[in-house]
Amino acid sequence: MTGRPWFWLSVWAVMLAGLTAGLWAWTAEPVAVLSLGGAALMTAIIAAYLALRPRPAAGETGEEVRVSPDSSYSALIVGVALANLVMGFEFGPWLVLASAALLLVGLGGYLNERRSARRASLRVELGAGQGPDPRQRGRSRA
Amino acid sequence: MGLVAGTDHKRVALRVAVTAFAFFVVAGLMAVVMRTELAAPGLQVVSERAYNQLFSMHGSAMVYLFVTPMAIALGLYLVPLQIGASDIAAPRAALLGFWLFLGGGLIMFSGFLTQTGAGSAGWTAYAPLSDSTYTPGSGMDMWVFGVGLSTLGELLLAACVLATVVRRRAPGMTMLRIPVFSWTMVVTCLMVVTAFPALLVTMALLYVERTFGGIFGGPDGPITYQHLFWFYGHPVVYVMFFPFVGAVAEVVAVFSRKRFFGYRALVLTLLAFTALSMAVWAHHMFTTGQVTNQYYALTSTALIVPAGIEYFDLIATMVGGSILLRTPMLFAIGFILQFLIGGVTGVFTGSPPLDYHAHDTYFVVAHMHYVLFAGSVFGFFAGVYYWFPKVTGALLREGLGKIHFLLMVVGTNLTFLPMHFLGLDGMARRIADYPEATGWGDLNLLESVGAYILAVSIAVFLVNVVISLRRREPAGIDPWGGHTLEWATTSPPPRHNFDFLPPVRSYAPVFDLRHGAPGGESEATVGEPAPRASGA
Repeated sequence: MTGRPWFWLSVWAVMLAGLTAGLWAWTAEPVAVLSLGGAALMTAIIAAYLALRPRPAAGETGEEVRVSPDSSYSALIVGVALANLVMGFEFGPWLVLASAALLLVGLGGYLNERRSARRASLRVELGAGQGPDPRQRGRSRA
Repeated sequence: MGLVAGTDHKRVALRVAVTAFAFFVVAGLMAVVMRTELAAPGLQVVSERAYNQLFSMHGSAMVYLFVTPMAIALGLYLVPLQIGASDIAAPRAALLGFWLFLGGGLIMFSGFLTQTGAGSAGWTAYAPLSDSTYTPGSGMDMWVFGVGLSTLGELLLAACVLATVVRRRAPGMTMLRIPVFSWTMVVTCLMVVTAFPALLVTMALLYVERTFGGIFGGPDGPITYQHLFWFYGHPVVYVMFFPFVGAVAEVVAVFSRKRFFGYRALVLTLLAFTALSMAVWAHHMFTTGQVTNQYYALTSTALIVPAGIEYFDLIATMVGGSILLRTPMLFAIGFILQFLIGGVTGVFTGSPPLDYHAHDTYFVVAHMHYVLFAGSVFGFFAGVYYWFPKVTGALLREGLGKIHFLLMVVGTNLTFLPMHFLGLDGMARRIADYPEATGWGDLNLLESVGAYILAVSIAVFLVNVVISLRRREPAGIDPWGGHTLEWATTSPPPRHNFDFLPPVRSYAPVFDLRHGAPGGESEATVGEPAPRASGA
């Protein structure tokens, strides 16, 4: 159990919850209690997700083919679009609209990249008579 | 094209690190100008308005654009290597994080191009000082956007590192076999994920306040702002600290030729330390009279316990070791000694009666710089000298490294030590000048000389990097006798990080290969293929 991430996240969530309880006992400042309590809750939710998500059944290897992208123009475009989008609040709606359009292009590119990656991993799986390339083979663990 | 869109975690991390270092150099030059202004009473090197912009942008760049992203960049590069992963989780998100960070930084600095100049409300931008009445103009808006974007980028980068630890560990790499540095990154990323959203909310609200008003204008508004800001603002100090503690811990163990002492105790104290550090933020607000001083003083003082255990572990690792005083170890020892001053003065400022005296004085400036510069930046350079051979395949020059270290020790203590005395004597922070009658001139002159020495020390480091990259001394796979998995692959590592993974039976798998695992198993050599063990 101590070898798994959810355990340690739970420990941290319990510590934060204890500190929140202590704070609540001292003060009723809503912003303070909600901030710290929110952090505890968020950590507990992530820990619960990790603990409860399905794991490979006994006998299964849990290995999955994972194709790592070498480059991603969509991430670059989304980053530039978001930066320009917020600047648009200062420089006018024309920049907001142009950036929103660029953001859509970036998100479209992202979906396209995902589809290509899925196709590539399918190709690896189908041609996996001799086993997949170890460089593209990962193991999902938690 | 890989330069702008490549998703390899090592390239993304290097981009973040180089960009952050560039911001560090710019922010450092700002500090030199400020120290010139303060070198003697009555000087007018820059106007008061320009001085306000300089100290605001210096602090902002150092916190939002240098130490925080640099800490995360170290994790982005090293955590996948240390846990035996072939890549980072969500590489596109990491790349997006870099572009947001860069965009945010450029937007923040673009404030200098506006008519009103850059943000000038300090790195904290307290309301109502930062509202449109007291800090009008686009420059402050740019600051708000810049902080928001760069923080969002850093949040994405940290989430990727955390997800990598959760999802991509090598066979056998259980949580209690994760190397010390990677554990410090785990707790760092936990703090980023839980505390940084508060700053995003704060910046969004501040923009609304500046544009429409009605958010922080009421009687409780400034306190609400400070709560929201410091809920981010104190944990970020630890975000800027723990990765460098991790780097120092790795360096201390490797250059003492011993396993790290007290690994399990360290893991527990890291969790306790970070949890406590999430609950101390309002000690920055003692003097407002609007917070529960007892609670925050208690939690702040309790931090001494895990900090003490970490110090004990670091020193105990050295005790009985065969210590090699190479440049990384010198910086690590510098970190341990100098951070102690920052830590102890933190106990003072965490105590309400003392804080009422020292609040908003140069004592606080001294404390902060002993933590972040004398501590974190020394830890950073320990890490740079230690991992540079792994990243580039070339060793940094030892002689220049030692000159760099000596200049930095002298410069750091000359610059920041006198600030304690000036602060206790009543010199307020963020002032552009002071009357001659105060008698603060001599100590201020010493500080300014120290700042110039620091600038020279950074120049020596840059010269060292250029020389070492142009006339390379090949580092080989493992020039130091490292303990962790990054030293089992080539320097620099290939795109997929590892051709072969050694068996993982402890938090120091490469050390195990040389000296045998704690249980006396395995005497394989680095590079020998290991059986793919099933997961733990």
